[in-house]
Parts: sequence; C-alpha cells; structure tokens
Amino acid sequence: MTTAPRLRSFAIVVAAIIAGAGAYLYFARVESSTTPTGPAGTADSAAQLQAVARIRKGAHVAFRDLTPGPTYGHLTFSSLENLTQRAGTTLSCNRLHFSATDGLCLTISTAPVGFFGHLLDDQLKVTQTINLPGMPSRTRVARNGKFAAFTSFVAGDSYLAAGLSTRSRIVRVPSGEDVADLESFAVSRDGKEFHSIDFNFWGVTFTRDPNRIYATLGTGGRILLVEGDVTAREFRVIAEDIECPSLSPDEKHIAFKKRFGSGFDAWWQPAVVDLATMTVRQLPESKHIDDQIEWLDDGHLLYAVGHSTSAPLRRADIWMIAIDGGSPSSIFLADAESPAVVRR
Amino acid sequence: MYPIDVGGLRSFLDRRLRATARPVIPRTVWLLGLVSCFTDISSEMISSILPVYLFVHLQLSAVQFGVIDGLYQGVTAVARLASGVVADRWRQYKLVATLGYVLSAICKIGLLVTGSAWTAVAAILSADRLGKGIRTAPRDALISLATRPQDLGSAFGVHRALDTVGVLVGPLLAFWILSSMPNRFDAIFVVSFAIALIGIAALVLLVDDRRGDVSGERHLTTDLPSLLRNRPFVAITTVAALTSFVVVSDAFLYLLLQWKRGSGAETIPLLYAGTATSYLVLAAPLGRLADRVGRTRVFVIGQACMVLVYAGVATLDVGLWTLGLVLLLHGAYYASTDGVIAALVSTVTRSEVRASGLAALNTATSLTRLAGSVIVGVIWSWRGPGTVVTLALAASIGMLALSAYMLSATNDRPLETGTA
Repeated sequence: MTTAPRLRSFAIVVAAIIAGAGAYLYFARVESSTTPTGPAGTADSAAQLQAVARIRKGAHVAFRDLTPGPTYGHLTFSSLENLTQRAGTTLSCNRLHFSATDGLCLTISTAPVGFFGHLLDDQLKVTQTINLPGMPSRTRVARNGKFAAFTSFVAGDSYLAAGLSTRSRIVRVPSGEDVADLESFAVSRDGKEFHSIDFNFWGVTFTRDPNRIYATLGTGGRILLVEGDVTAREFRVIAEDIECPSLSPDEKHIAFKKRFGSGFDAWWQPAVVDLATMTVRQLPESKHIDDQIEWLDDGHLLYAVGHSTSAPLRRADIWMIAIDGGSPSSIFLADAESPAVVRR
Repeated sequence: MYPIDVGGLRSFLDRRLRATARPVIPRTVWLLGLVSCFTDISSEMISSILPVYLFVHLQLSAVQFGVIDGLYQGVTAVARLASGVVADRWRQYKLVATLGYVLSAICKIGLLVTGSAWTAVAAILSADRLGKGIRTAPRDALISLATRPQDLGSAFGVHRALDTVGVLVGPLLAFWILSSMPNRFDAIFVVSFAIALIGIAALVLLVDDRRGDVSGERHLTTDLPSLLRNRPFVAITTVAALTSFVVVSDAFLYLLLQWKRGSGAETIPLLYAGTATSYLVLAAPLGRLADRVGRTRVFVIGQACMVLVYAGVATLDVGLWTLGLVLLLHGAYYASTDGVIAALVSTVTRSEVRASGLAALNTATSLTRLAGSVIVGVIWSWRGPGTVVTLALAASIGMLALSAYMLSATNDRPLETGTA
C-alpha cells in the first residue's frame, strides 16, 4: 500500500471511532443531566432544611442514608423519639460524625475527583474542606467540638506495592487547622519507649477532655489499644486486641471491634471492655461489623452491618445491642450506616 | 574511536557537529510518538481516576485495593524480557508491539463490562500492565532500527516528548469528563478505549514494520549470550539499573517536597504535571545534545540534575521558585536519561538483539526501581524523611561519580552505520 490509501483508511477508521465515542458521550451527558446527583449542599429546599432543623433541636441520630434512590449516600437525620421519620440534606458523606455543634463529613467525590472532609457548622454549612490523603475510613468529633479526628486509607504512597497503611490526623474545629498527625506521637509500652517501622494508627475516640484520646495502634500483625495526650503528642499502650475503640458517654466502657481470623478471612464482632477492671465482654452478635461503633446511651451500642450482596450498590443497616449481653441485637435503622448520636 | 576525555573533546565535538547538524527524525518515529501519545492519554485517563473508581463504584475494601495495587505494579518484569526476545527471534517488532497495545486497549473495555468482582478488576489491571510491558521493547527497537545511528538521541527525545504529552492530557480529559457528568465512569472507559483504538489504528495502518534488512536464517535465532558478553551493553545496563535503584521514585520525591513545604496531598498531581512539562519541553533538545556531544555525557548531566534536585530539597527552604527549579531539574533528569539510555543501548547492540537488549534494560531498571522504593519506604518509616534526603543526596553524588567513571570507558560510537 502506498501512503495515500493508508492515510485514507486511517482517516476513515478515526472518524468512525470518534463518531462512536462521541455518540456515547452525548447520550451519557443527556442521561446524567436528567438524573441530577446534586453537588454538596446546594439543592436543599427550605422545607427540607426546616425538617432537619426541627429534628436537630432534640436528641437525634445523624447517619448516611442508604435507601436506594435519589437520597442514597446523603447526610440524614432522625429524631431519637421517632426513628421512622428521616430528614435529609443533599450532602454526600461516606463517613460522618457530630458533636452537639459541629460535624465532619468524609466524602469520596467524583467532581472534583478526590477524597475530602467537610467541616460543618451548626447550620450544616460547610465551613472548611480538608483534602484527605486517601479513602475515608473513620471519623470522630470530640463532644465539646474542639477537635475532630479522621482516618484515611492511604494507597498512593504505599511503598511495598501490596501494602496499605492508614493515616490518622486530628484537626481543630471549626477552622480545620492541623493539630497533629498520630504518626508523630511518641509511643511507650510498660514505661519503655516503643517504636517500629510499621506503626499504623486508626480509630480515634475522644474523652470529655478532647486532649485525651484513645486509638488503635497496629504493628507486627498485633492490635494495641493506646491512650494518649494530643498536646504532648504521647501515647501509651494500655491493652492488646482492642481495635477501633469507642468510649461510652459515661467513660466507663470502651466498645470495640473484636477481630477473629486473619488476613482476607478476618471478621469483626462487637465487644465491650470495662475500663475499671479491663474485663472484656463479647456480645451476642454473630454478624460482621466494619465501621467504628457508636454509643446510643451508656448501655446500648449502634453499628452498621453490611448486606452480603455482590451488587455494586452498597447496602447496610444500623443495628442496636445492649452491652449487658442479655438480649440479641435488633435493627435500629434500616438502610443506613455511620450513625452519630447527638444529645443536647 | 573517540574515547570521551577532555583531550578528545574538540575533535569529537567537530565530528559530531558536522555529522548531526540536522537530525533526521524518520516518519516512523513521529508516528510511534503519536501512537504512544494516544496510548498514554488512554491509560492515564484510567489511572488518574482509578483509586476513586475502585472505592466509589466497586466499594472495594482497602485490603483488596492493596492487592490490586500490588498486582498492578509487579506483573511486567518477565513479560518485558520475553517480548523483546520474541520480537528479535521472529523479527516481528510491529506485531509484538501491536499485541501489547491491543491487550491494553481491550482492558479499557473490560473495565466497562466487569461488574464488582474485584478479582476480575485485578486481572484486567494486571493485563493492562502486561500489555505495557510487552509493547515497550519492540517499540523502542522499531524506533532505533528506523533511525540513523547519529540521530538516535534526537529520535528517542522526540518520541518521549510526544509520549509525555499524553501523560499530561489524559488526567485533564478524565477530570473534565467526570466533572461534566459526575459518576459516569463508563464514559471515561469508552473514551479511553476509543483513544487507544486510534493509537492502534495509527500503528497498524501507518507505521512501517522493520523487516527489510533481514536475510538468512541467522536471524531466526537470538544470540542472547552475546548480550552478556557485550561489555558496553553490560556497563550501560548496570549503570542504568543502579541509577534506578538510587533515584527516589517520583511518589517519594513529591512526598519529600510536601514534607518540606508542609502542603497537603492535593498538590501531588500538580507536581507530576510540573515534572512532565519540563520533561516534555527538554526531551527533544537534550536528545539532540546527546547526539552532538555524546550520549554518556548527557546521561551524566542527568545524574548531576538529580544531585541538584536532592541538594535543593536538602538545603533550601522550598519556596515556590525553588519548587519550580526542582521540578525543572527533575524533568531534565528524565529528559537526559530515559531516551538517552535507550539510544545508548541501541548504539552498542547489534540489530539482531536490539529488542532483547532494550527489554533487558527495561527489566533491570524496573526491578531495581521497585527494590529502591521498598528500601526508601523502610528508611522513611524507620528514620524519617530527613534521613531519606541525606542518603539520597549522598547516593546520587556517588552514582554521578560511578557513572562518569564506568561510562567514560564505554564506546559511544555506533556499531553499525547506515542502517537508515
């Protein structure tokens, strides 16, 4: 073949490809403009906002709505008095937590592409957006709202190709200003300095004094509970096999995820440790839980349980269980995850 | 023979300047550059949105993502070498390269039709990498066999510049599609596939295969042991492999810059763009410089650029100007090493083992790069980023001296002349 016919067939092929892809793009565009996905917090109607404000005046639970449909993934509220009624915003959150006044909503965004943390004020306005170093994992806002903590999975800077690390940071509320990266904390165990190259921190829980926190330290395949001081940047190891702690409102117990098995086959179930005696109580729950546990009150836990489905759309319900272990768990909110209980 | 020493520089420069006053960049090189440009737009579209896609759309757990990431990185070393040997043995550079391009293109459409089975996604991403491993060596062999030996640096420079255009355009295109139609990852896969197809069409319909000078059955076997006996080849490959081992990967360099500047993860794409822009602009001029003053010389200049990069990170407050300068030098490092080393290897290997030689170079450097990254990661966690900078600076100075020494003995003269 000489050059001209080859160029001509190339031109024809390219034209066909462009026409095909162009048509696909056009129809995709038309389709997505008729099914609006609503950017963060812009499309809330006045009525919706009023309903949300009414619920938030009393004791309530904030959560991520997972009802299939247009509200899927949105930050939503229910009064603890009436869990059947939901009032939602159009803010998409993958993980969320609230103090009485402030909130932190971790989100995976496609426009712009990335992982973000939106700090929310009392009016649910986004006051500050933090760029997260990776996929949202856990978040907590201190009860007095001074600090918030979040954990991201970081895959981008994993140097061992198959490795994956977590990055946990504490930020000031509401400015979003960096307070500390947990990796910068000095860790001690039995009074001695403790350090290893594979330290990973996740799952922060605040005490009433937001300077004092608990978190998980993973190292050498072991899971350690650490207690620490944010300003002093110090942690001390206080127990083993207590993962992703959550401190009860009366600060007498820590609810946590007890790990069974290892590697790919690992699963987690809820358990409670009494901080005075450090005795662990396994709760009558056989379902696998993933996210950090939340306290409904001093005697009851809330946690999300995912549906076992291979469908791409994630489905989960929030379950409730009493910490005395006397009764089986029951569904607290169907089609919901990431609960945050707020009592004013 | 022009041994590269100061005494010989004058006559060396004279000859070079006369010989390469006007580099001849063959049509094949421009076309292969265009093919690479399209292919890189296509693949960078995917990789720039991949983490978000895996988490949003597939709801993969983090452990699974780690596995995918690992497969994605580690799968190519053997495939690279094999494709080079196969291409040499059957003199089928274009065919083998095309297979690699086609495999990667199919993977784009594979992502579209795969559901949420993460094993399928992992397999597809590995196949995509495999395609890249397969096509690189035969493609570089096509470039080198089509080009006059005295123009090899310029030719590889032009090719790498066009390639880098794709690296810059791909993410922008992906972000533009996602921001105009949120969550429509399918649109990204379709456009990525279409662009990959255009690249393949250009390769299949427009690029001439290189089989003309082949005669006799001598060519049906590859003389691999001759590569190992080829001392200049071994020296060049060793220096390149050591360099890859010593030079901190892009990801770590950007983390070091962030650590210095105290900025967040959001700036990383901008840093990538900065290096790529510098590489894009400098690749062809530095390739031409390599043809004029000697490829080993320019390669050593590249090493010096890397020393300056670490010196900048180590000593200065990294302000905006310093940051720009560091990225400029980082791009200059790539521009004076990546294509130049391919030109060097092409110069010292006979055409029968050209693809094998280039493949061995690729395999060696990718393996040492991986090993280097693991070690940097360990040092980072163990002693902190400050130690990483100090060690990287020391190692790059050592590498500069070592490569100047080793390559000064390497004959820069083409083994064959007039192949174009």
